[in-house]
Amino acid sequence: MADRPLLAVEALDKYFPLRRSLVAGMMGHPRRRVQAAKEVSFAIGKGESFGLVGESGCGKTTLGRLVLGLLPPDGGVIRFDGQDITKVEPTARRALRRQMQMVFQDPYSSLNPRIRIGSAIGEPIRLHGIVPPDEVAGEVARLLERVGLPASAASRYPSELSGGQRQRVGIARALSVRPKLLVADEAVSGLDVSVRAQVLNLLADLRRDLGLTLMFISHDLGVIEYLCETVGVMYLGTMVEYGPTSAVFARPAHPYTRALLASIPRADPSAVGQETPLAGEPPSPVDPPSGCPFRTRCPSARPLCETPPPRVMLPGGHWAVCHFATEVVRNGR
Amino acid sequence: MTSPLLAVEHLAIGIPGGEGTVALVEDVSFTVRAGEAYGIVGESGCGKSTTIRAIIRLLAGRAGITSGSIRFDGQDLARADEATLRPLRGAGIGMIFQDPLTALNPVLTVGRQITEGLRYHGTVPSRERRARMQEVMRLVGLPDPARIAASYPHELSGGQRQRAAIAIALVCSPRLLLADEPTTALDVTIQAQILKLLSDLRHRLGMALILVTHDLGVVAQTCDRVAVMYSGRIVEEAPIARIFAAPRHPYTVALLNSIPRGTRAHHPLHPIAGMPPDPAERPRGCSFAPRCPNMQPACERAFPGWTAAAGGGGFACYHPAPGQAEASPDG
Amino acid sequence: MRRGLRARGSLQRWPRNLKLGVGLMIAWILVAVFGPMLLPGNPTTMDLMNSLHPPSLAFPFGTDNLGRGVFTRVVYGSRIDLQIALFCVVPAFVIGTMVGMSAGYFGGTTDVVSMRLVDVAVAFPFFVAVIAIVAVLGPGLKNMYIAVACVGWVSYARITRAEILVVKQTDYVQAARLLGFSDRRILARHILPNVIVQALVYATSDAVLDIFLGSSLGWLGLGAQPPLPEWGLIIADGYSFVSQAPWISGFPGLAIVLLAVSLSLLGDGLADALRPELGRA
Repeated sequence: MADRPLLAVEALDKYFPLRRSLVAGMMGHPRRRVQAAKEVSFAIGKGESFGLVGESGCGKTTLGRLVLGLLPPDGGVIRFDGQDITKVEPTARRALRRQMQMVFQDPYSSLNPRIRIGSAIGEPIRLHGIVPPDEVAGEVARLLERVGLPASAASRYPSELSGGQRQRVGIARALSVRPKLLVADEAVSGLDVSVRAQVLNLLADLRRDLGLTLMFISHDLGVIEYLCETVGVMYLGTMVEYGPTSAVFARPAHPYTRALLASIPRADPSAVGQETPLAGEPPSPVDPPSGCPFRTRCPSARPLCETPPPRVMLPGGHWAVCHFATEVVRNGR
Repeated sequence: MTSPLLAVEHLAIGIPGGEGTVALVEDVSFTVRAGEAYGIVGESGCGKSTTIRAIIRLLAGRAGITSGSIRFDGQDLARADEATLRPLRGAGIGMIFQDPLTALNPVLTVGRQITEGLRYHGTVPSRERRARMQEVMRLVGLPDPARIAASYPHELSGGQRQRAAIAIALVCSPRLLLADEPTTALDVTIQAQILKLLSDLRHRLGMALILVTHDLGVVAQTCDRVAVMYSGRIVEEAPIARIFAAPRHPYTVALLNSIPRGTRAHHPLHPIAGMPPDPAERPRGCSFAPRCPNMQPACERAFPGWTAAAGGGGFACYHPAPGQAEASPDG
Repeated sequence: MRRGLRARGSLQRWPRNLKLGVGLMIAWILVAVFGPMLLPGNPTTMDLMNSLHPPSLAFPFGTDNLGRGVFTRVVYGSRIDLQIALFCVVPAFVIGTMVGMSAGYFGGTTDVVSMRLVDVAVAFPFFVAVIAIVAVLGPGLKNMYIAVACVGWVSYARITRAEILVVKQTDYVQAARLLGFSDRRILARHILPNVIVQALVYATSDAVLDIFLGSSLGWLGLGAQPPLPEWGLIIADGYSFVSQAPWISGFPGLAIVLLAVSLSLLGDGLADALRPELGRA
């Protein structure tokens, strides 16, 4: 089936139990837990570029690691190419895993300081027999050139490269095993503006040329708008809005998305924010509010918000989890 | 016009080394008037943080001012000794930093750290300190001052910590606040709160602000005038509206073209090829020349002089972008 | 990238303290291996006619109360003291890093059990524990080695475990997992080289400690047994004659200090040379 999404996540749950003191345990107090993902569902089509946006602690990084199988979920289904990766046995999982690779945030800790660039990229190629052994060096050179580095970089150590160059190496390493899905977790956040644009363009080119599917996790709405076709907005472990980027940015249907968009400092002095910034800070994910998780900060919260909000479907595959989604869209910008 | 509050002239900062001094900042001049918000933007390593740290002489390691003057209220801070500087730090000039967690002392309560400046400078009688502390805490929007004053930094959220750091900087009513990437470590909704707070405080207290940031959006929302730094020098200075409407220096143009702006979605970004030069190996001429699309042979011979622009500010370039053009040729 | 390729192996790039440390250690090994062959005398032959002779051309370090050349005894003693350093450090190092590695990487029960063992071992002060074990097993170098192995691995286990816990979380180890590498490969190639440095550097200072321990036990009569020319024993022999013949205790003392300095230089140098440059380029 051509239309089957490459990645389909359904009702995914993840909790991190907090350490409980011995006394509390003996007194029979329930174990408290951090809610990192609660009933998260979304899908990414083949070749699509999906952006996951949210503030720190909203669970976006956890979601990326769940998808990659670096963390086991506490509930729900993750289907990759039709297979439920939470249920496959370890050997099959390793083969599946290779089809999903990650680009990390910190270009300084994502490369082993003691391994030359050439080996870092060549090791997985050799190990998985991607190309015959005598062609590994050529493949490494080809990958380096693909990400915009000279082939001579193979003989360098990570400490000899700049942050942007290391990020390119990280991308080349991820591409070495010819994955179908690339998860990029804040992959450009640590980079300077001009270098960031270089890496963003590289990712966009790679996606187009190699038909890669991209899951791009970021706190930066501008970057997501630039790179992604669809976007999911996370708040306190739940996905509060999902849809085509153009629709979500033009007609946000969740008050949180609206506030997020209004908070971006626009590089345009004539657009000095008239809207008052969102008050307060996100509540602790240990005891999230009942009903709508956003109601404690929502400028238009009403009594109904204390009950769990429904997923409101809007035109064009756009949805929001808010009692008043249609109202928010209508009163929008 | 009255004389400026702060006048930095031909400031140069360097690190002495085995093969001569490495210049971190060269020939930087700018002025800040009382009550004005002045932005300094640039990428990491361009010398923007070094420049404002030099103003209160908080240079790290062996870096030192090699020439130039920093005149604050008639006094030259570049040559002042510690005894002259001490009353100025805090009372004349306050500073806030990027990471509020490391800027606060983890073993002292927030209240203690806010009143520390009053205690040290002795400007406020001891029985009024508590009242002043609560006043400043309300000013920066810290709720429930009594409870927060008794808390330790790790008990506060990121936004509250930065508010506490601002309260510490403001408690002695400085006339100039230096802010070094004050919102970089914060989430975007919290960033919006802090930027609004800084603007409100500036208007309410008539305090001048120097905001150092890599984010052009932050400058656009907060500052009256802005300087763009590249490889240790100011390459362009302009009133805020002009820098976005008609940037003159090719680096400013390129910088604006490398940020995804809503209106340009799905137009390709135009990154600047290559990287800034190593401060130890700057080219002889214009340091941006190797990456510049308008590069001509003259650019490699000597650093271009300063050209004043109509409507204030100026730029250092032989072949600037046309004055009234759009922000970018394809825009 | 602007900088030239850093040649890791080239001698010129070694830190100065490493060059000095390695040079001194090579000198010590040469002394221990070839010194006794080149010397005419015998470290245990007594010559009462020449007892308590001050340093001279014939006896560069003088003689002891039994007329034995202190120089000859110190040179022969280098064999014993280097052997002490080696045999005390290597078993502790191997056991300790292996325990620490499995505790840190696999966690869970392995971690709990080995760390409780560590707690038990550190409950006794190092010297007291070693002396107690030697006292039970009986005096002698071999029993001292056993005692040190029983107690000394603890530090290595702790160091290695702490380092592994850090390195295990780094993105490059996560990336290795995603690339489908086996646990063994990740441990051997991606984790071990980054954690072993700390243990290695500690080993050089541990060796110094063990030499002092060997000498102290020798002095107490629990380590090397006379007439072995172990440095601690020589110092003990000269102890009664310190005021008349300070050279008997002085020169072996100097040798201990010099060997300790050589080892510390080696350790510092290793730490400088093997530290990966994580600094931003």
